[in-house]
Amino acid sequence: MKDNEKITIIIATENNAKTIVRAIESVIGGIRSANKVIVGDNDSTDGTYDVLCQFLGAEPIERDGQTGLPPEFEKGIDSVPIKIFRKQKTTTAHTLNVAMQMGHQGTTIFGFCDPASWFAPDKISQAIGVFQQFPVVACVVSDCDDHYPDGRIERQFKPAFDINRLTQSFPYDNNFLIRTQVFQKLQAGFTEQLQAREAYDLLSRASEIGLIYHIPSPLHTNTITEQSVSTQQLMLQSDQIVQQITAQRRQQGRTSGK
Amino acid sequence: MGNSGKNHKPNSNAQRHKEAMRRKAKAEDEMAQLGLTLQSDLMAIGVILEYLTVSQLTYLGIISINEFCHKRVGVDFCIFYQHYSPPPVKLLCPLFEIHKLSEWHHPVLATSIQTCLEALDYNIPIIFFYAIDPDFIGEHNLPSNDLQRAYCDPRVRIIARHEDHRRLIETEFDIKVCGIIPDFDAEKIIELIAKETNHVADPTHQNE
Repeated sequence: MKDNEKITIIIATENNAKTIVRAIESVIGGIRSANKVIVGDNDSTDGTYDVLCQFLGAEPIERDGQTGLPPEFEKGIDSVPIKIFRKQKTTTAHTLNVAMQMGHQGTTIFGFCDPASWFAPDKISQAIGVFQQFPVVACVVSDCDDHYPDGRIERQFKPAFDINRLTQSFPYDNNFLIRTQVFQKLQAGFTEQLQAREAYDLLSRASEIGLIYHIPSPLHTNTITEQSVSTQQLMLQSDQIVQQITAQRRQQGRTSGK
Repeated sequence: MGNSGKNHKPNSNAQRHKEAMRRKAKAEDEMAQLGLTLQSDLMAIGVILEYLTVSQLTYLGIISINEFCHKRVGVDFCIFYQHYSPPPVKLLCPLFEIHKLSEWHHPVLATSIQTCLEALDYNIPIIFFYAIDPDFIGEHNLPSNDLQRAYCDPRVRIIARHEDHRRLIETEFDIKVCGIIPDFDAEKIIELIAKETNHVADPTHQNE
């Protein structure tokens, strides 16, 4: 099925050398591949950027008498332009925003792929189908499979979108597609101050201007790794911050009569 | 006065009869598309929503019901709510508080465990439960007999949103799901309810 959408998939990596190529290949090798892929590396220390350069065939360059990998590189694979760049370590939200600015021109739908996940072949095509069927939909999320270190794969059933549920917890993950106009209406991208859960914050804000549509099929797979206690705490704190911000925003909306 | 060409109002018994027959044929045709006839008992369907706030179910449900109200005649939709808030889209069908179900004698469509349990407390002959997601998975606050009642009561018929959900529900509760409707499609829901109510109407009449 032909469509007029221009899909740019954004990936923010940080120490994902083992999984990043699989993620990229999944978004360019599906039934309906992405039109462009932008990968921003958040100063990985495990050689993720080296893996990216090797994947695209980027040669070291010489600058000011020093030789190293280019800070930015672009090459088409299977006729899909793939752009990579690396930057100083900041938050994932900031990396995603930088990547979005690079791919904003002409893009109608942004897709986000977690570097440790991979898309099912029909994830992009199914999402486009939803966007075309329901103009009111701002963002498309889906069920997923969880892939455990012992090789076990477990189907995860996510709930349909409900704003009341979303204010209490975030049932989805970082793999979703969103209309570009949402960012124009929000007049902002991801909240860069957040250390984690930037997707929770974005979808909470997006849900106030359009519908979040949940597809009940496992359209991506997440790699499950054991999280440290500090990561779990950070996630919990970030959840609370997002919930507080959301509550404040709603309160202000009610007060101003929106 | 003869026909002036601009006056479309029927002005004789013959013309009025012709117009009535035309409208009847149109209504019959529309009802037939839903698998119904003008003599069908199915006159209205009540949809019970927990909240009217924005959700995939509320939004797509109201849009589909509104579209149905614009396009079709013969079957009416009414929405019952448990907790009021302004709906995200203007409604073209009546809206009632849930206690009005005590005066309701048509099929109802519950849309969550909570709405299904509440519908079971009223004297409604058949309750269709559109399980938009398998919400029993994360439902730890409800006693298991409430879950069993919502899914397995003889008055309840389950409609799933996806084939995977159907399998999950059938395995979990050892019941048969009566249909799969991917999004809240009012026409498909009526077709399914018409089919199911015709099917279950016979034994009830035999008992009478």
